[in-house]
Amino acid sequence: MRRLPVYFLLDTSGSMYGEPIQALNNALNGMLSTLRTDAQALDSLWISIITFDREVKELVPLTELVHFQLPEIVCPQSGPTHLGQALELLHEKAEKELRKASDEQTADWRPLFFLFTDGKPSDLMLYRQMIPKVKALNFASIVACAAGHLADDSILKELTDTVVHLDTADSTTLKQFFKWVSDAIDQGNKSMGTTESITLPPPPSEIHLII
Amino acid sequence: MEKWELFQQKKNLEEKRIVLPNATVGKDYQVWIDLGEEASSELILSDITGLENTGLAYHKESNTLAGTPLGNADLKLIFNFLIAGETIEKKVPFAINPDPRSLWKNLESDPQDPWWKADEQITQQLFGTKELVAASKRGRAHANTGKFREDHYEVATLGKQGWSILVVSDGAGSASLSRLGSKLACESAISQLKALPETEWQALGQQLQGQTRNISGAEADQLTTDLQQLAADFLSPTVYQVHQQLASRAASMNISLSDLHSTLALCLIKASDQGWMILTFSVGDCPIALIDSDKADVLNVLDSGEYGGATRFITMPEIFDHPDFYTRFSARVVPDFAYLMMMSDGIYDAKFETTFNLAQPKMWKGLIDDLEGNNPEGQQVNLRQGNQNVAAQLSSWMDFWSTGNHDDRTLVIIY
Repeated sequence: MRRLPVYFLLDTSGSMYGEPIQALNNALNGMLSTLRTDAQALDSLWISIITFDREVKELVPLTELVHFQLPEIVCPQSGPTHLGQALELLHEKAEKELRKASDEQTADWRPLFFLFTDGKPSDLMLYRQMIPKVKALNFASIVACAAGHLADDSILKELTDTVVHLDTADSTTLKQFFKWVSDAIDQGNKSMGTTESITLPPPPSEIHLII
Repeated sequence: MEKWELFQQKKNLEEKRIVLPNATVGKDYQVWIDLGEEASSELILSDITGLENTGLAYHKESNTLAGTPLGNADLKLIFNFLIAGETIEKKVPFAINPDPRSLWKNLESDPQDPWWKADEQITQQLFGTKELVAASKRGRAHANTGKFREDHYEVATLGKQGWSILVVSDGAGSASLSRLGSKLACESAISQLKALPETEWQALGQQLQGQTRNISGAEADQLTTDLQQLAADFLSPTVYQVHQQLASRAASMNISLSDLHSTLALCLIKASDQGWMILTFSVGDCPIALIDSDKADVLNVLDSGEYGGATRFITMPEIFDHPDFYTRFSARVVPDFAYLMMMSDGIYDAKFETTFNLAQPKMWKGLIDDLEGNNPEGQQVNLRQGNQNVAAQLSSWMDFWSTGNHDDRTLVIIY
């Protein structure tokens, strides 16, 4: 069976404490609920969730949607944003988990990677070191989402051409964003050129595509 | 129980994450509720509320949640615990997935669309001393969203020298007008070849005359290379023209050439007094294979990337400049064959899974058995001469269920 692996890197640094983290939990649950009624997703989608604040954690290892269970995502009241370390963990996990073409196994669909952050990396040097390695994993798409006025779009642009900005990390906006993510995931099971990126659906008005 | 123990146990229970595996509609479910370290004679899970109309029930004596789920749901169940006579409620999320097969919709594609394409195309015809059957069907992934079939195939006779052409093209799922691209690629290849003068076809037949020599080792390798060169010389102007025509069509429509991304596999075939002369070209991942009882020869090299669904298209100009371009061609003369098959990845992914398996005769034997009725659906395609219903049978067979494989399906068989 051909899997569509999707990696989420979620910012749980101090600035997410309170309403934003609640909104993130709700929006993720909403997205999973939507995906669970999507024939294509139920058949092939595998999800991994990595959270990062001071600590970087593989919250849920790459798991089939059918069996996926989302634990409550919590965050400390304050602390740095170790995005570089998170990319390092993502790289390490993805290297092991992704199934590429071989004699014995069906290759995965090209994986997708969604990054959600409301700040900028505290470990900028490591972040920059990891960028080429992450890109070399040949994701079909990397989407970076910057939420709120503290997030730095230009730093995220170094990682991917697809950077979207949310004005606030409130419940409505996050729901819209993750609805769009599930639409984007629907684009994942399609044949394409060996190195081309997938075409993402147009984002709703709450989401600004940074050019 | 001491007061502090009770306090501690209540606290532990509140903090404990109880995980119920997800259930699926129609699939028997039975889970023993594990309280882990908290389990003790004084802790009793007395009841679970929120299970009304789910088809599931909690059995206190065995501490299990069991039944056959009736409908999909995202629930927050309430676990009612008794600790030393005190009641504690705990919310536990519980997901019942729908039966994936029930979710697939069959939505009509828009018949008003300028590039509308029929959801299904079938052909059956005599083919010299053999017969040909072909079918192409819109996959569930497209039917589910009311999109169009992107696969295409065409069969035609060329000139008076007895040559026929079979073409299969798979439009890229990621390209917006690939249904048009695949159609144009097939039609363009045929019209180019139809325009060739008779003398060229005569010359081709003559060049292939006597190439069935029973040789082996270095001599055989040399022959393969020579024949590959012959096929490349004959077919490369045609395939380049196909690319050019797609490029000019894209330009005239003011769209990007990549919007027409499509693979192309073509096979020229002619019966002669020595057997069958066969020329092939391909870009993409549609196998062309000759099958006999004990062997299977895949005549083309498939373009596949490190990940699934990644391939190359006739619309990519770089394939023509690549030093391996000539390896896209092949030619041979064979005394006879049991089956010649061409297919899109909708069939090949489901039935072979890897390109390695394409080289395994037993996998091809499996496919033939499957076509003959050895499948869960009990669909039979009677590949015997004179079967008037063969195309309809192939079309029904093509509805087979394969988890995760819901692409358009195209299969052409000469038998």
